[in-house]
Amino acid sequence: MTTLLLDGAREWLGRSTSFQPWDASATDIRRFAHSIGATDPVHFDSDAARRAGYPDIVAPYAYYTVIRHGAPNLVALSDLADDGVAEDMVPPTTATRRMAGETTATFVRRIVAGDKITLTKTLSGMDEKAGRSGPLLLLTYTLRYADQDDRDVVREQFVRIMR
Amino acid sequence: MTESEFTLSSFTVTPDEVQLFQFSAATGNPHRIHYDAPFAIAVERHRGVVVPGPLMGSWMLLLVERSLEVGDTIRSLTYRNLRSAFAGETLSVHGRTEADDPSTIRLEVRNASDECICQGDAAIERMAALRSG
Repeated sequence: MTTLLLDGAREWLGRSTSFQPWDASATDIRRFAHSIGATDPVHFDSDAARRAGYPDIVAPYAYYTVIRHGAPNLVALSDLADDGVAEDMVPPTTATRRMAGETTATFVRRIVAGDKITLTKTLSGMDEKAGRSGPLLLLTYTLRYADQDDRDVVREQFVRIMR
Repeated sequence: MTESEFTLSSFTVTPDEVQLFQFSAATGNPHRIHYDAPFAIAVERHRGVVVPGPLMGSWMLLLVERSLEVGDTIRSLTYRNLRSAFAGETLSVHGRTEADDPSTIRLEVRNASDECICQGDAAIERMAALRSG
């Protein structure tokens, strides 16, 4: 099978990066909740959130995806590729198109306004397989989202498919 | 579908380019296939602006959250994208759980042709199960 990996790609396995802490502000949570069509007031209004037993506005479960995309793409504009995205821990490869594969997120606790979340991303798997329209490169990333006390908030395993 | 299954109340969505722009902005995702139609069609050969996978995962989590009893929590979600969906399509989000396994919710996003485009499983921690256990 033809390989999509270029010289030195295997050395990328196990590489890990931590990003700047992400402020999960009330505004950021509201904006995300709005964008997915959520309407529950606990995502928009502090009083409603407190009445429901949360210390402040609570993020929808899927809010971690803001940090997953936002943090790695917050680079100099000149470092974004033609398709708009940052290189984001892709090893040397001839593949140019990326698609999302299977993802598993484990929720340890809810993210609330005021949290500062640090994402640590590790390239934990690199496999190649034959797809219907040619070879595919499967990159597995293990993501840890930790709060200001270095406690896990969300853990995720994400597969990026490249062709 | 058998009588032993419990079906969650499904909902439909028609993500237009405005929503996809807002979602890309909120998630800081600059990938052009999600907001730049000429690029998505001419360069990456899609039929239109592509609905991001995480938006489908977000809808699955919304559906599950709306079905929870007070004190229940979502432990995990696994999902995989099977087909692309494009701006303007009407999609529906479905969930069901089987009587012998109330802690797992099987989820699907289906398109107007009733094809499953995204499939997932959510694991739920039930307050009632904790009390009785």
